[in-house]
Amino acid sequence: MLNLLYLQSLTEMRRQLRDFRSVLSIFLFPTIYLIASITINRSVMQQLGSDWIQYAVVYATSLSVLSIGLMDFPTRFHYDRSKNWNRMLQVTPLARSIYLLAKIVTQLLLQACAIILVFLIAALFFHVVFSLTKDLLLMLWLLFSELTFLAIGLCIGMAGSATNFISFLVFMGLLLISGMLATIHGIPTWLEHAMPTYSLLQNAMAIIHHPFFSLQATGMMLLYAIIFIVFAVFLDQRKKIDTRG
Amino acid sequence: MVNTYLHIDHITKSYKNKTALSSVDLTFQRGEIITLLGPNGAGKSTLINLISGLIAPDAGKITYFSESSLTRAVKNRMGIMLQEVQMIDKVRVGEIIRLFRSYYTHPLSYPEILELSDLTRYEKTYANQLSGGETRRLQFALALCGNPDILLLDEPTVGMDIDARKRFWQNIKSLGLDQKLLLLTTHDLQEAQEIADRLILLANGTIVIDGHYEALNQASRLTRITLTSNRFFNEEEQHSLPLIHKSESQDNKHTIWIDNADAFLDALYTTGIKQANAITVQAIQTGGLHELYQSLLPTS
Repeated sequence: MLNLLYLQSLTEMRRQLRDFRSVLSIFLFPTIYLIASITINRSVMQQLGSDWIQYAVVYATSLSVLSIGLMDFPTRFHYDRSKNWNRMLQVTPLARSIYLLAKIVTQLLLQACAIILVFLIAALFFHVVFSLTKDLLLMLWLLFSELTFLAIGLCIGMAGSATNFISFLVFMGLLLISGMLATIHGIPTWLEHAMPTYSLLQNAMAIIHHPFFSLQATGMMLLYAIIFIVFAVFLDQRKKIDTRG
Repeated sequence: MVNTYLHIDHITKSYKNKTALSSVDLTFQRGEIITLLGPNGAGKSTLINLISGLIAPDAGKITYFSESSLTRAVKNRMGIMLQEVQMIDKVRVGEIIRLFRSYYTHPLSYPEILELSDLTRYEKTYANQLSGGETRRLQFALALCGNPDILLLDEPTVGMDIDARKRFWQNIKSLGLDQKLLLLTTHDLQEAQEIADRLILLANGTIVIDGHYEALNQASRLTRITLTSNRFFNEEEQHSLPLIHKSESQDNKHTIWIDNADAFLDALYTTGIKQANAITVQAIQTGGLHELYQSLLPTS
């Protein structure tokens, strides 16, 4: 089973690394965001202190989590469905859980690489270096949070031809509500706090400030993960029943 | 060893208000090569999809080997070539074959799969860049990966040119079919009779005929008459003539399928319909499975 998971993940990894658009969204998007936000806000950041540059690193890595989970993953999942590839696999002995797990493992590995890349650029060009404990805890937190966003992405990926539109809408909506893209005044606090992006950022900041997790944010993210994983499994089963007539 | 590989027990399947298959009952043995033949919408692909487990029947059941459901162990012994599946992007032919081999317990060797599917020179090509015929060959290769005991091929040669078809059938014959069950669908009767020793003709979701080609050919006595006339027979004239199973008209040229040519021609003269319509008989094609099959195809 592990060998099967390895080979399936390897194929998924190859497919993604050969796809220019995918590479662009996974690696270049957070890197450009980091460089642009620090360069544009350099003078403000210098006045406010080094914390702000650290925030930019946290935002860039969090953006990468959102981009992979909400944009890249559902689009790729929908692509396979649109080619009837799911039907092709359904008639083989391959368990559907292995197929899904391989896709998730691939995304997590790519996510880890993207985070390391952002850390490296932050260290090399902007001299932002976290302690090893902070680096590891932040990485762990971001990967854990990625599971929630992948589950949301899986639900979006089952929306058929509306997948691309919905994934863009959810991605942009969460970016705006969380303030990652720009600070927007007038968004109700309860709405901001109800989004998984709030827990994502809150805990990431907590790790930077004092290297330990915020229990509240971790609990919230766990709750989101459970809700969306259950919902994704329900939708996947329903789709399976639909195709079986 | 179990000789019955597949038993389809009174399967019924409907889509909304249309019955795709109606109480179909079939048994397939090891070593059989069977062609499911029929016009579009006859229920061929529905039957393949039911056997593949892609759709569930409304009534009836399917037994695989001696198992009552399509378990992973059963799938391990089956190879299925579906219609309407496209290849995914950014993965090479060789890589995809290697991946599919890993799904099975006793896969066919990699070089053998490439050779049987005629894909050796496409090993490094991206799967989604293959032509229609090459894609079908890759789908065939993927169906062969597990060295299956049951091989289901749904319209396998669609999109292939004549040479590719010829090589495809040669490769099929070299598979060692005496230990396997090969079930394929086609609407090309000539192709069907070349490979299969058992033909099943489906029309409107029911089995019209089921048997060996030679026996069926003998039994099928439908005759096709091509004639020219001012107009086609009206309702009253059709009542006074022997039963016309099917007719096709183009301008003043008409083709009809009937049971008995002599009785029909006699009736044309005695009733005076021949003179009234200025009928000239152009050709008479008597008997055979071909005429029976043609009579079942929808009127063009």
